[in-house]
Amino acid sequence: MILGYLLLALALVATVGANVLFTLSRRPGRATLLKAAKGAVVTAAAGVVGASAYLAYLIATHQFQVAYVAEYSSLRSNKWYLFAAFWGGQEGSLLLWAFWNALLGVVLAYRSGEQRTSRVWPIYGIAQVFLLGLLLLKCPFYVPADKAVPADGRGLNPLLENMWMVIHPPVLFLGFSSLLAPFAWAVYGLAHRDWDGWARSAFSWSLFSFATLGLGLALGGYWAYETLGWGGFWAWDPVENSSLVPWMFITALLHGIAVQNKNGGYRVTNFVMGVLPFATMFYGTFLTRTGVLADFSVHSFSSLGKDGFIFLLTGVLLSLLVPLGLLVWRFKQIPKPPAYERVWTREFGYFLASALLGLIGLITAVGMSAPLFTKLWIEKGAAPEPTFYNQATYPLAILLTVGMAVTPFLAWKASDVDSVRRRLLLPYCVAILLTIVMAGAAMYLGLRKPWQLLLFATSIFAVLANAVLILPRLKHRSSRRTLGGFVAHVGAGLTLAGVACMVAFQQSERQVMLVRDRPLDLMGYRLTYLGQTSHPFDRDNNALRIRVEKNGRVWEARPRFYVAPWAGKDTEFGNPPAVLPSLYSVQRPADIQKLLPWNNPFPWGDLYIAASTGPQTAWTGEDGQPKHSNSGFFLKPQEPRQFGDYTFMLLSLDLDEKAKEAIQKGSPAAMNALPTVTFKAQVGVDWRGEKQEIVTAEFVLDQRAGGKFSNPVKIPGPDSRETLLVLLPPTDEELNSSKAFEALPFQTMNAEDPTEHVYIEISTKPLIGLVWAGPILYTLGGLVAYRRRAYEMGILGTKESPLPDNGDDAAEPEAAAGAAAKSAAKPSA
Amino acid sequence: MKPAAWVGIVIILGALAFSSKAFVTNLTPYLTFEKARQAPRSSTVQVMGALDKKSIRQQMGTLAFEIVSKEGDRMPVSFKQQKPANFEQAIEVTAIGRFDGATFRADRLLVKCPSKYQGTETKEYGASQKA
Repeated sequence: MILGYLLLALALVATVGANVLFTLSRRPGRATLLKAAKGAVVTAAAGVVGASAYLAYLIATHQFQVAYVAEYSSLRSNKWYLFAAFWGGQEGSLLLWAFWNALLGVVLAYRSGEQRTSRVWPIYGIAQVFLLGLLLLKCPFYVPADKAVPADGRGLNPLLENMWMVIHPPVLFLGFSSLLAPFAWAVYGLAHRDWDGWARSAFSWSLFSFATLGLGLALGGYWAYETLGWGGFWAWDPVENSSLVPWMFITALLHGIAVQNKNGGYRVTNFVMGVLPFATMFYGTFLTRTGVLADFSVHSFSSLGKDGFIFLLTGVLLSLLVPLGLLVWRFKQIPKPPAYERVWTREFGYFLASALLGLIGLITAVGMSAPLFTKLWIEKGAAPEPTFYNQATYPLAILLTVGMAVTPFLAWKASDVDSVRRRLLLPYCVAILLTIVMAGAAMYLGLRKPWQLLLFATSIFAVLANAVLILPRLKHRSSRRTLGGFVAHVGAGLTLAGVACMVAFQQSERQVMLVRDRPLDLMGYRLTYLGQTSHPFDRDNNALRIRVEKNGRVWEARPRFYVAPWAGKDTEFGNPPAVLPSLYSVQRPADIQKLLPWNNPFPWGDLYIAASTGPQTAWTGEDGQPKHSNSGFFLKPQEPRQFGDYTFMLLSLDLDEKAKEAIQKGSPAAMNALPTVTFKAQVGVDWRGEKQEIVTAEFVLDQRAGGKFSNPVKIPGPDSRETLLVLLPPTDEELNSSKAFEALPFQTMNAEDPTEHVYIEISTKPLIGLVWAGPILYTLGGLVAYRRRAYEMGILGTKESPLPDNGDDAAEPEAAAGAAAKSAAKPSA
Repeated sequence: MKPAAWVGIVIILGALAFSSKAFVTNLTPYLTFEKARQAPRSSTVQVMGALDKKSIRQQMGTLAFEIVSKEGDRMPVSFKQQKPANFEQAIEVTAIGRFDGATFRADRLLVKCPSKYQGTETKEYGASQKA
């Protein structure tokens, strides 16, 4: 709507204004303009925040005349899912991105130091102008002209109506947005020949990006594990990869900067690593939002259109080529002091970390671009299997964990090597011994494949080596500030150790058929399918009841299964898994004991059960062959049909008058021109000769919302369970045939049937807790390190602190805390 | 050059060589039916064709159907997982897996369906090797 456009236009104009004012203020005697420029930055932020609030308001008040609101929200959504509708689509998530950019832009304008703000902000501003331009082009406030206002919106994809979709995108986009500041600082450093100053400023920003983007990735993995039911948390999908790649590069950057802040080393590498996170994030956006990967990804992308394609492609090329061109141009001018004197120093360890992280980022980026460049020799292009990423990154991950275990014990500068060696020898031996014990235990328990055992051992080594360095630092407040890097490394090590364990020890069975009330022994469990809690159309409540027995103890797993007609789109099958133990089962404090390992069917982690299909019954088809369906059958008018305990007869089919006309004209497809058509089938139902009733099952073709809905009707049956009859919508093809209504497809739900069965997928997830605990720790570690560096740079402080030439570490007395403690804040993994 | 630089170069070259090899072995090219029949059993390939709706058979957890190439070549496909939603409406099906001598055993299906509002929509079904 017009207010939204106006607010975004205001933001665009104010951002351009801020750029002009900042640039002008650099002239001598024009410093007063700086204040006006900062005012323009705040105005721009107010515009974007206002536009966001306005979109939230439009969604909350169901203003379906706005195309975006009608597309991604509906009256039935509860208030939390309405929140998720904000970023449920392309335009809204672009606005979320601009929202964080605008807020972080204010921080950058006020906390970058007087002279430098006017030079760095315009670079940041150009990217924001670009984004706001794209947003005006693909605007969430767009109101289609001459189109009837729909009575209800289509709503979010049912699979996205989930608590984690409320939390995950804002965190992820905060991470994305925070990549822009390090980029702006790197370009500033190149443009204004500030070879080292930019890196000091970008340090805290990159730590912030590391923490938020890393947390966003982990939340996305947890969402997949909890709701998608395919049993994993990471699939190397283009959407996941396009977040992982910038995260690897930003982590490489912060290791490089840590060295540069000490001795000015790695200047050129850091410029490259400063540019890549934002540029690759932009590239990932281009890949996943313009539909170029449409044939290769699970996520169904709606294209931004040709304008958006050109816009984004231009952006990607500019963000990559301009800074790198600048780097080539400046290359000879950049002084390149040696970064390290000896190999066994931190300076070299950090270099290896940067190189390994950069390589993982590069390999992933190449893999996700494969569908594009393989077109050179394969006609349609090809994507690598997920196994490519596993194989290619495995050895790098092992080297990385070894580096995480070794580097924190090394000294900065070659001259300190001996004293550090004496002091840290004992804790290091402890860590090595513990690692050997744990790897031995893992081997005893069955971890025998050499690569898996190696990754497990090196990851545990990284955890223990960093943990022994954390303990002595907990005593003093000042040394606690330096814990960030160690905590982050413990987190990264735990995550990788968890992945190694899960891959090695996981047991799983797919397509397990469970016949109702008939126990099946599998993987040491006795499993019995007991029926459904409701019926599949009950999207919020329906679950399969599966009894799990082991050693005389009994649990009930309730994997969910629902069929969600999604207006205007395909029907979605949802199968969120049952995860035992479940955090959600803890309602009262006393329930905490449910989480204890010995109270669970699988003491080492999670037992994961997902429905592969909904309840089915076996029945004999008209050709005499056994068929398999979701209790589906056809009814012809006035012909009785036996189905299980039921006899059905189609008595009449009732249609709207206009629809009847269309059919009489001989073209059922003409009904598609009508706004809505309701089909009502009167069916006589007889259950075991005991109960009879005439019911009306119906379905609706809603042309405005574009949907086909069935409204199930209750039919007589046993008192113990509610049985429903569903008139299934015909396919488009059936509608177009002249025989459209000779036989109508029906389905029963919950009908008593001894052949009722489900297919499930069951797996154990050993030590999965490590995979979730790891990200919490690396995020915390990243934030601790961020807090320290941000205070140093005055980003969090109230006054702008002067910029020491060599960071704070050099100012610390050498002897006070020891060589290792003084440089403790090794950023992160 | 310093020994440390050599270490870096060795690691980088090793990683690049290793990952190039992994890339080549894990690339799943789109093949014609003829080439897919001749491809070694160990390699995963993709075939794509129009769905012959009359050929759809579902029995005890296996979905069997045939796809037809533009040239009219037919390929029977079996998929041992849940039948994708609205499978009957699919116009085009991409199967990822391998030919076992009689049928193409699909690990995953990419199903392209007509979608009223967005042209076509492609969805993936079936689990691949995921962590």
